[in-house]
Amino acid sequence: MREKALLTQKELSEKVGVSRQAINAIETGKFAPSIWLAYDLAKYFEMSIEELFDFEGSERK
Amino acid sequence: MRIMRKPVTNAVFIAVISVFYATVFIIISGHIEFERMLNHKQTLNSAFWNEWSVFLKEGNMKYIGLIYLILAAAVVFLSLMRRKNYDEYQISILAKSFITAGTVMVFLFPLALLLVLSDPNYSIETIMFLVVAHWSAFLIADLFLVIRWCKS
Repeated sequence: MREKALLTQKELSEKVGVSRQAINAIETGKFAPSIWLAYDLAKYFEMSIEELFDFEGSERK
Repeated sequence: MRIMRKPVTNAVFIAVISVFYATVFIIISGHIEFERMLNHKQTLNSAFWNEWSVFLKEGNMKYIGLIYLILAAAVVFLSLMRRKNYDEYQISILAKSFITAGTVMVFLFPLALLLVLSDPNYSIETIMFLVVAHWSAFLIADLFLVIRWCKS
């Protein structure tokens, strides 16, 4: 989604108010964002959280 | 967790513990009472422990104390330079490093007990080594994180 929007990790991190490392960690599956960060990201891309995040393919913690 | 959002929290924690250790290390360096507590017979057939014992006797702990002060000053300076709070990802990394340091400390107590019981002559050397290894690792890891995040 980020690449489709022609955004760098740094630009997206500034849009949602987190570090570039946080965006990188979310994209690589190393970090599961809080519901509020997921909400901010989904809101930015104008889609639902379920559409933005792949719950089926990810592991339940 | 909310308190960990502020970089000053990490800086204060690192500074307080580092200053405590540095003060102790500087005071005991070359102190006759401390030297008396160390092993002087070299009863253990281990070059490492005997070298470590000599290192302590020669009053070199003050250098470790000074290194702690320099590293802690760097952590405090970089933390105070940072204007933004840590985000949730950075807090999770910090929390993991604190939990790891705490867990290691929990395991160090039985290890220290075992080492002291196996050769009581080296009890002070053992405890000093475990303290130095534990805090050095945590301090360097924390400084690495603070440097990595200082621009984010």
